[in-house]
Amino acid sequence: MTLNQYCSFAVADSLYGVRVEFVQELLRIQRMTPVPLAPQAVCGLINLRGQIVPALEARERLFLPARGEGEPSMNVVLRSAAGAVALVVDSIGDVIEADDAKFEAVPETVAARGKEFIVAACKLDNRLLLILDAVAISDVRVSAGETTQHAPSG
Amino acid sequence: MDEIVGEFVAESRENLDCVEQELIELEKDPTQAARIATIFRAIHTIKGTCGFLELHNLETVAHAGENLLSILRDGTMAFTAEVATVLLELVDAIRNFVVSVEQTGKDGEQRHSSLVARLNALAAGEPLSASPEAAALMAAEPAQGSVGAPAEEPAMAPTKVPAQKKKRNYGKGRTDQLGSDVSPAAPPAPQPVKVQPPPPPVVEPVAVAVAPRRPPSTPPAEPPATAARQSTTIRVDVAVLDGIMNLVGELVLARNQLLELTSSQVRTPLALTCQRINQVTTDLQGSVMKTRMQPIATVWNKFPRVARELGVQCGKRVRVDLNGSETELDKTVLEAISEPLAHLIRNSVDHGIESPEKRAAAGKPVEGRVNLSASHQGGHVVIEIADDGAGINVERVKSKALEKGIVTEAQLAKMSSQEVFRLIFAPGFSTAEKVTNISGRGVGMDVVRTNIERIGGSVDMHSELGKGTTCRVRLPLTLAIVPAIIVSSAGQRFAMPQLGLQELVRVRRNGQGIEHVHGAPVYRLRGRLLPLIWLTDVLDLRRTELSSKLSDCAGHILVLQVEGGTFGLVVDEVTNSEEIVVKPISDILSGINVYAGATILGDGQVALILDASNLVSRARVAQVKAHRAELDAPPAVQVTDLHSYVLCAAGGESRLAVPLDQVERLEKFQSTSIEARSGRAVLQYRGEIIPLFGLQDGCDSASDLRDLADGSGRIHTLVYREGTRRVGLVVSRIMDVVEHDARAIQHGNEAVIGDRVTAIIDLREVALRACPSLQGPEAIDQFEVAS
Repeated sequence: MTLNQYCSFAVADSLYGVRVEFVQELLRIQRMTPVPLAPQAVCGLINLRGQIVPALEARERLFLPARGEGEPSMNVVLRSAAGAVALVVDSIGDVIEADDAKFEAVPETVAARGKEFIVAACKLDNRLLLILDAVAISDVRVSAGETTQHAPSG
Repeated sequence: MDEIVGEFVAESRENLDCVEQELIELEKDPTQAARIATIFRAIHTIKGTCGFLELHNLETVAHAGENLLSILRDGTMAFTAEVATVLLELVDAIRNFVVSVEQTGKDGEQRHSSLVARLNALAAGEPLSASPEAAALMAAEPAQGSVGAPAEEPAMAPTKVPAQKKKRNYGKGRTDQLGSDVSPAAPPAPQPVKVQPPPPPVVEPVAVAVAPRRPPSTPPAEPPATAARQSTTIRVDVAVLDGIMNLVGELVLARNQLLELTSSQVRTPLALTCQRINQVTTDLQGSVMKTRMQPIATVWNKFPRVARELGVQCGKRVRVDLNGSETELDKTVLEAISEPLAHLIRNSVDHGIESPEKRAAAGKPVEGRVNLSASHQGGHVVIEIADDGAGINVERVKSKALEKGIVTEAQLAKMSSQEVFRLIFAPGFSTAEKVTNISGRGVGMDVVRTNIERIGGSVDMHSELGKGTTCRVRLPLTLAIVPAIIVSSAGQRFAMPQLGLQELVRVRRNGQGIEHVHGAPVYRLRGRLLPLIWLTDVLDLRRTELSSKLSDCAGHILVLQVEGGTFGLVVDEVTNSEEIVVKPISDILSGINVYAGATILGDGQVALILDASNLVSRARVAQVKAHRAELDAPPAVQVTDLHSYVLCAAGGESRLAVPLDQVERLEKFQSTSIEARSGRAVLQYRGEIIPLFGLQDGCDSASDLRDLADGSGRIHTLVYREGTRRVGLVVSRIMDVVEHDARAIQHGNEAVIGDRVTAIIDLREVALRACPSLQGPEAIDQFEVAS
């Protein structure tokens, strides 16, 4: 039996979640070393107890407006095929348990960029929890082409 | 003795388990040659030890199995279900022997002769349809003729076997035997044992000599010669060693942090303790490093055979000599160089060594020689691959490089022959086209170079026409912990490994000593021009302020030796030197090749490790692009290099230049003459009302502009005219009109004019932005009507 548990976090007023088994740990934001020439979504490298982990800005990955200067953020450290990757989000929510009946595929009409990272929408009582593909979102190579195309226009 | 037997039993069981698993996997996918090799090694190990324990019956069975496996491994026979069955039976038989050995110390009276017969039959390529007895006969028969052929041993003469076995397995000069024993002319006799490669000196897990060094060519089946020797050597799984290495890496980092924290303390107990920890850590690091060291023989013992077989294919006679096989290198380095070295040797044999006829005609010995040597030199390992072949024709290399567009004729003219040989390693030097027309070197030579440089090594080639070619590979001893210097640029710290770093040069404030060759900055280093690149430029680092690249920089030049020459990398500061532990940066960033990894500095922060050669090639690409763009530019730009610019001060320290031909007039007005009309600053000028604007967005109101007035209350204005309409750009001060080479403009809009970085402004663009009504159909209509 698989547990339908999701670690939820807020990014730009929306609630997102990833399956708990993909989450290694949660961290307050740390000192980061920027990586020149890296894709825009890479905010830097952090020292996670001796392990060097890249941090990705969730807002950038999801094509959401950038976080304002000085606004608080948190790291969700994801286990990905390419090792640990920290996803920088606005704040951490609860671990949400949801049964299958509450899930729905992303409607076809959602055309926004970044929708490829959203695998499903979970209908909570008062709001929607958007389930992210932890593997795809932590691999900047996946949509590297898109981000570069995106840069000049946006 | 009991101890040895116990070890043999344990080891054999382990090996048998492994064989069984591998056999099963193989049956699922018979193409996996690596599995056959594993099985072969395991059986070989068992057999080898039998010789010493005088377990002749077991040895006979294992030997028959080994024969079959070696044929399978060579790929001349397919791995069928039938083969699998017999081999699994072999495993069972050996298991029985092992049980007997465990209980009695002897292998008992069991012979398993029918199994041996079937193994031999399979090895001889015969079907097993006949009864085992018949097969045994058939197997025995063809073997009768050839003396010492292994096929006859297991069936008939167990007593004869041990002596012979010992000799074959542990005798010295095994590689020589391989080299001379089988001449190319000899027909490929069906003697699997004779053409077996030397046993790989290590089995997985790698046997590591912890205390005493073993002779490098020790075969895997450690001969239990003396009990004392056994007790000083233990087998350790490589993964355990890797784990220890990682921990030591962490320790080194913690030590660095500790030293930094206590650097201000002198002679306190804490400081003294830290010193002690420092020392112990260094020693520990050295010791752990040693456990991972393996003689280079582990990699290149296979080369004589590779060369021989390739020689046979090409109809050449080649002999490979190995010198310095005991030279030790870190396991990771060894793994990384195995392929590049093999490539270089294949090149030597394939293209370097001539055919016997040609050699005879040239008065050389018919047998070509490839000499491999390895030695330690100043903290590095230098490997040389030298052949006495035809050598490389420098002129052919030159024409090839020209043809491929790698260099220009002018560049070639200035190159030393050493530099010309380096072209061979240039990407694109050899493509799909046959390369043998330049004596062949080049197939994937850039790949060889890349692979060697990836681990911080370098490769050089030297050749004398008619005499031979020498390839020199320089490698670091280890990859895990490297000495590096910590530099910073634009406020960010980076680590630059000291390998390839030749010296540090401090540049005086105001950039004295930096000159330009056609716009490209160079530094005169002891009379030679050193091309400079700025770290901030290569990495697109944003400069902290609009600080001048040259005039304000009291920077440092790192003089780097990379493939293709010496370069100066300009950084803002050199902080200190530190032993850094190289950690990989995440796979998701692997596309950026200017970093060799990352490390954690003394203060716990992550720093990126720079890869000198990729950094330089990136800078070079950028320069070439700039150069191309220049060539593609309209001829007008090319013909008149020198453009006149109006040099202005634009508030604060910043300076800007406007092309003179865009400016209609330079004017100075009393600031009081600025008027405000519907929120805009305007000026009456030659009977016309012209809008005024400043350079900073949102600072275009009349009062803002009045603030720009100089000491005598006048405002300096550049008047721009589009058609009949005019606008005025207000600056702090009009300084000068200068001539400047348009091609030296960098980044599209910056140039160094009079030692200062100056922004080049397109007046038309600025004017249209401030006053969009200048353009558009109305404006054009008006213009047409007016004229």
